[in-house]
Amino acid sequence: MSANALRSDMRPDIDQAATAAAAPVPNVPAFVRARGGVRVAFATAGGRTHPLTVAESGGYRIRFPRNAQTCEGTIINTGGGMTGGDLMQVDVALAPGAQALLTSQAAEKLYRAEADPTRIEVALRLGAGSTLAWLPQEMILFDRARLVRRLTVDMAPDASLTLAESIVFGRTAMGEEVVEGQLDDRWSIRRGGRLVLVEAVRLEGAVAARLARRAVGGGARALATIVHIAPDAEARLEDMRAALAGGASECGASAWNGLVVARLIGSDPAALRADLVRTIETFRGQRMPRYW
Amino acid sequence: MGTTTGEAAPAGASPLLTLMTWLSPAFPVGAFAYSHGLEWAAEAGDVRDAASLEEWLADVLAHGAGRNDAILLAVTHRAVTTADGTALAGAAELALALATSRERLLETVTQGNAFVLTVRKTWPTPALDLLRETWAGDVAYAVALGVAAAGHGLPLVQTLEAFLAAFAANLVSAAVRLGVVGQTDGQAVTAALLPHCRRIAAEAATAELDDIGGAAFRSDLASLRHETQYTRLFRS
Repeated sequence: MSANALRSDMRPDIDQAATAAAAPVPNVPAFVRARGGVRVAFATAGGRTHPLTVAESGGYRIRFPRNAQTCEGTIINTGGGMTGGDLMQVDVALAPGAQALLTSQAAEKLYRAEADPTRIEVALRLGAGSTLAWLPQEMILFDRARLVRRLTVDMAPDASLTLAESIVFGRTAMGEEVVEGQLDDRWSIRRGGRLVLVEAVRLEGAVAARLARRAVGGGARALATIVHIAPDAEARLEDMRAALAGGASECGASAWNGLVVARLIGSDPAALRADLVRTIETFRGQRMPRYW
Repeated sequence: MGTTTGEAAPAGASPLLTLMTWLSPAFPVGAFAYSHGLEWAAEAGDVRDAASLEEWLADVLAHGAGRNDAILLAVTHRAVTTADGTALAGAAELALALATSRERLLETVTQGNAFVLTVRKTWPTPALDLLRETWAGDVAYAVALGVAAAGHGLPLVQTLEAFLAAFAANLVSAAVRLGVVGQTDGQAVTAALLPHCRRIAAEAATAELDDIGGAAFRSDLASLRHETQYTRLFRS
């Protein structure tokens, strides 16, 4: 079943509203609010990694393109976006030695939320010696979107994780800003049981006005963060700095606690996306997945 | 000395005098060596006069380390007051994990460890033993201050106000040394920041760890950029 076929059966009202230029997003009644997600466990067999168990619910699917050289999963939201009250849960587990990459078919659109926020919960568990690249496409916050996200990682000391997330504020092609909104985003990363990194973003109220201030965004419309955690991660700081160099976005990197973190900030989401793709490709030495 | 948990300040000293001493630039934690990324912000031209300095620091206080550290201090203070070792260890662990760069981690743990060392020798309190029993790692500055303040019965809101004011004044002092503003303008900026300190202290006093979070993205970026800055006066 193709992704397009899947798209047609879920919440066409929202999908059309999102793609129709300048059309206001309709209020969505509570009964169509979506709950769903994907759960996948990877394991090795015959020298290759395979998705051992896959569970899909709500409007979410995961597909594994056959032509991919590594085990590559693409998460698809057939609803075409999320609104207030929606909940998405992604649960990924890698058995010892497994190697996988996960991405998303499209940017995730976060529509205006009336009462409850949109909620995203991601849990990544990496067994001994496993390797995961978590590279979803960006989230686009529409004006008055409210997003609460919790991303937790529990990884073995010798596992490797490369994680990149990016957020765009407003449909910038339409000149939209996130005048009001909420972004409550917390990542908690444990390595060998030890809490090594917590990223806690809390941005609410007059988002665009806040982002205009110099210590906050300096007029930023897009943010991205790359985290790389691996036994040799700190030794790769200069690789990350070299990979970042030459872009249009403001960026920087640091290494501590066995991890490398890079941050990108930009007023032009398209330029930031290009910088992010180039940085990740250079740093990993591999092309981005096809949908990017 | 007889300094036990719940007693009001070290013998013979008021809470005010204790806080003034602990948060004085003369207290040997080395605060003067850290600019919290301000040195890069000055280099980049984001902070270039009194107005831009005040705006930058107001956001660092309200949406950056100021508010987050205040919440960590408050949670620590409450954990010691109720002898809750689990909550204390949780705050101590989170405080380190929240560092946004290598230099931010250095900034908080060198001051925190130095503070614990000095207070243990000069203002001993069983609260520091509780910390040692429940947390074996480095100690973030806000956590160290929260433990000591609770151990000596110093009131939480005043401790938070003094902590935030000292943080702001230290960064204004850094800006003066960087030549961003003169002494008089620097004091005017500090004066303008004090109401922010009071507001954030009041909010943080009842906040929980889940309330932590910030949006000082370009301040965090400045801290990253500072690592490769060519000429540096400061360690962060």
